[in-house]
Amino acid sequence: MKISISDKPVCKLAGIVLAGVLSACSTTVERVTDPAKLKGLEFLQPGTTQRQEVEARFGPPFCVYEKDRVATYQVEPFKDGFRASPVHKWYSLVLLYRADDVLERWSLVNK
Amino acid sequence: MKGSRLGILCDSRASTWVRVCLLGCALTVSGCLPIPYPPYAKNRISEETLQAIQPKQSTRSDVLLLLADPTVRGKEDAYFVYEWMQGHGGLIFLATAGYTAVPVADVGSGNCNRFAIKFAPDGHVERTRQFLGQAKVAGKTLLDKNAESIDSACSDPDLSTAIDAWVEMEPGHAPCKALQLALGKPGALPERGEVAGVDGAS
Repeated sequence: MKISISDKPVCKLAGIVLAGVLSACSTTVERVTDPAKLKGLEFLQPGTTQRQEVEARFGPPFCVYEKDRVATYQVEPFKDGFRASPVHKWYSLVLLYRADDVLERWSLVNK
Repeated sequence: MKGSRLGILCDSRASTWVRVCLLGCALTVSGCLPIPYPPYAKNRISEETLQAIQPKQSTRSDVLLLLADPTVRGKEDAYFVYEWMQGHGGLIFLATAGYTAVPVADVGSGNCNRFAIKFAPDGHVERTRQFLGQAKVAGKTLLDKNAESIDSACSDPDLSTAIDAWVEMEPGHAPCKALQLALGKPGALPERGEVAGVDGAS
């Protein structure tokens, strides 16, 4: 029986490690659209969610723009959702509010 | 010929290469295990995202929703700069003893790129441009905390000057001329600086 090099467990393991290294080393700034990765942010409903609700969960924003109209948070996955994490920057949560402090648009950005 | 050789030796980039090669050879001879690592990108901005930002159509909020916090915020948010790092691969040297291996040095090359966005007073994107930094070789040991790392390519002063000139430029002015003046090279495009630009003003 002929066994190719790729059938050897060591080579398979090396391949898995290399694939992991390659994927872990590169990061692209992009909006997260996968619903599975957005789990825990269902409470963010444009036209409904108030600024106070967001701040009750995440605290004061990391940065604000356009006279507080845009607020950003650094967040990391935590249990079944996300929590604010000024130290570990996994994702950026960007929230755009209307003048009456109701959420207008939002996005989670992978950085 | 002799003069040009001397020029190469005196060139700071060439001397960096020499230092990095010497460091690599010394580590290999001393028994350290060189492990190659592949090219990588840190905070790369995809072409699709770049294309989504349209001058005179996209707003500052649109940009923030796409790219989140910028690396640099201009005065009164008149411009944003996003930085991304491109590594070209290199070697990590491991000191081995028995079953343990500890990384002791890192040599590699990379360049820092920047994507600048200038906003109009009404908050719409006025123009955008991508600035590509020059590839830089760096090597450092864990003992030398102050050594240049590849990431320090992001502190490229020429690139910063070029961006400052581009940001200050009034709409309608020739962008290349401003960049040439900033880099002191009239009559020729700068060696580094914007290459794959998307300029809404021109």
